[in-house]
Amino acid sequence: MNNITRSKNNGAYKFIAPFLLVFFAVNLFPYFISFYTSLHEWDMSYRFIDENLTYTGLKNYGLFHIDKYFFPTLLNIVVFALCSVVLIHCLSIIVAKLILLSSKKAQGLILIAYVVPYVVNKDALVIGAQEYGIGLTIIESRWWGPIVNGVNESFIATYQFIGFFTLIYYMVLKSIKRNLIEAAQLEGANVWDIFINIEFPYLKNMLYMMIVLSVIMLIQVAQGFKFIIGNLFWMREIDIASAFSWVYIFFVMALFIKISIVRKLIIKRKEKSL
Amino acid sequence: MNHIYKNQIIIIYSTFFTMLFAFLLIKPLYANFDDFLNWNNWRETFVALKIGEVFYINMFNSIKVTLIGTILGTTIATLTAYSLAVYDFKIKKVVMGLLVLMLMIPPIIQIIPFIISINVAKEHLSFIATTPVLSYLADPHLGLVLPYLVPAFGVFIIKQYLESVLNYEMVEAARVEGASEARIFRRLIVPIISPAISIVVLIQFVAIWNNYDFSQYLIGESESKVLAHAVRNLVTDEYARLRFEAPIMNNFMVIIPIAMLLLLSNLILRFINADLTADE
Repeated sequence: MNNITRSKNNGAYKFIAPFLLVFFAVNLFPYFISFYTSLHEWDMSYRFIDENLTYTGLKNYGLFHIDKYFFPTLLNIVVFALCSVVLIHCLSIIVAKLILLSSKKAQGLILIAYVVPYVVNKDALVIGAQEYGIGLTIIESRWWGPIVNGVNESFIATYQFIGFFTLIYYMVLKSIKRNLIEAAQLEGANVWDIFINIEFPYLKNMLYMMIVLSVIMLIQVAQGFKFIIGNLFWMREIDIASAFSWVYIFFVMALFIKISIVRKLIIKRKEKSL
Repeated sequence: MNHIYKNQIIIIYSTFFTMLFAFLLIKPLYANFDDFLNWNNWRETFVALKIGEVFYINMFNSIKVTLIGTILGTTIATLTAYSLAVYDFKIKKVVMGLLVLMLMIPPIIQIIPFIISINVAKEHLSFIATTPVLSYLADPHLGLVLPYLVPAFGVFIIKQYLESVLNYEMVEAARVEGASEARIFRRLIVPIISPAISIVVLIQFVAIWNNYDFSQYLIGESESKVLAHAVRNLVTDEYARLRFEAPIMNNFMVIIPIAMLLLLSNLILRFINADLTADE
């Protein structure tokens, strides 16, 4: 369907209005207030607008004075994210390929079985895991503790998210044209050859995007991240907390801009070589 | 022969996967397996629970928040995806940009900005709580629903599915016959994209049902907290885990989303088997 005839009808605004309304009121407006807060000093003890907030400039963005556990926690998040990303993507590609190889009747059932941990609350699993002694190793050392705990947490995160990414990779692998694979089989290629030469190049296009998506999903469940935000909230350091939120937003934006620039460069190079 | 071998690998692997899951759930129920098999233990636990206890209130809160959030969020996602896929309008690129922006920022980072704006609203809009009709807006659970009203990932899923499945000539034909835009959407589009909607319903449901952060920060330790928050307390507080209804809370937390998954599984399988790149 290359020549799509889309109507130039203003009826679109009727359908898009709820989105715009909710987006500006609920999602965008709080960020502006928090940006204003991050430049001032405010600990929720007095009213926000009536009193004159003292302007502090970029002092809150100096993040170093949060507490002595700030950088170890950051290390914990990085180790957790790295371990989980490697485990999740390697395993889910293998599982998706194996599911595709199994008999067609069983595929749906197996996929649904894999999605179950994604649906289930992680805390319910953690209670069970603690009974067995998994994930209990809490090491008090300042720098080795976060690393070991990050690896420990990554196992539970892998168990939780593997189904979701298996589903996506399964759908991608399934969309590859059958006649390509059959031709390769006629030439005498085995399963491994087909995977390396035909299927993996397909997946590679999506892999980068999927890794970024998984990092965002992982940070959301990272205990270290919640620890930082929670600590700041209970200490009533709302101004520093909003500065931290903005640093995170800038970081993710930079990541995305970098991705889009790299993608454009790759496309340009391909066009030149053609 | 080769095929049988492959089947065995995947069946053994997925059996292990499911068994691990089952053990993790059963283990906290009772100290040993014999206690678990003893029917009297189960009966005593259920009989001891009375209507009106905190557990039931938390459960009701969770169901209320999840239902409202899922229905509103999915509706807004469907409407947005439809307008992006079918119409050409001026701010289309802007809307796409906003959606990508939303995809980048995880809900947990919204918490602090959200707390600030709720605080500001409490100061300056305090008349809402006393006005008869508007007082519904002062509900403590409103803050748990609002951040989930625009599921950006869901919009992309529905849009992608709609573009691969929909025949645009059908929409044109319906217009020629005199059907209004709302009627086209209700009668033509929604039945076609029900598999994609089912996926979004599942994602929304799971996200809201399992979320405890907003409850922790906006509501705190009170009767209005949701079930996920109560289950979270079981992990962090050793004394909370000794409460006799703890295993039931834990398993109720788990069973509802699985039931949801099984209910929607037919539609989800239809979504999985659809060829999303067929018309490119």
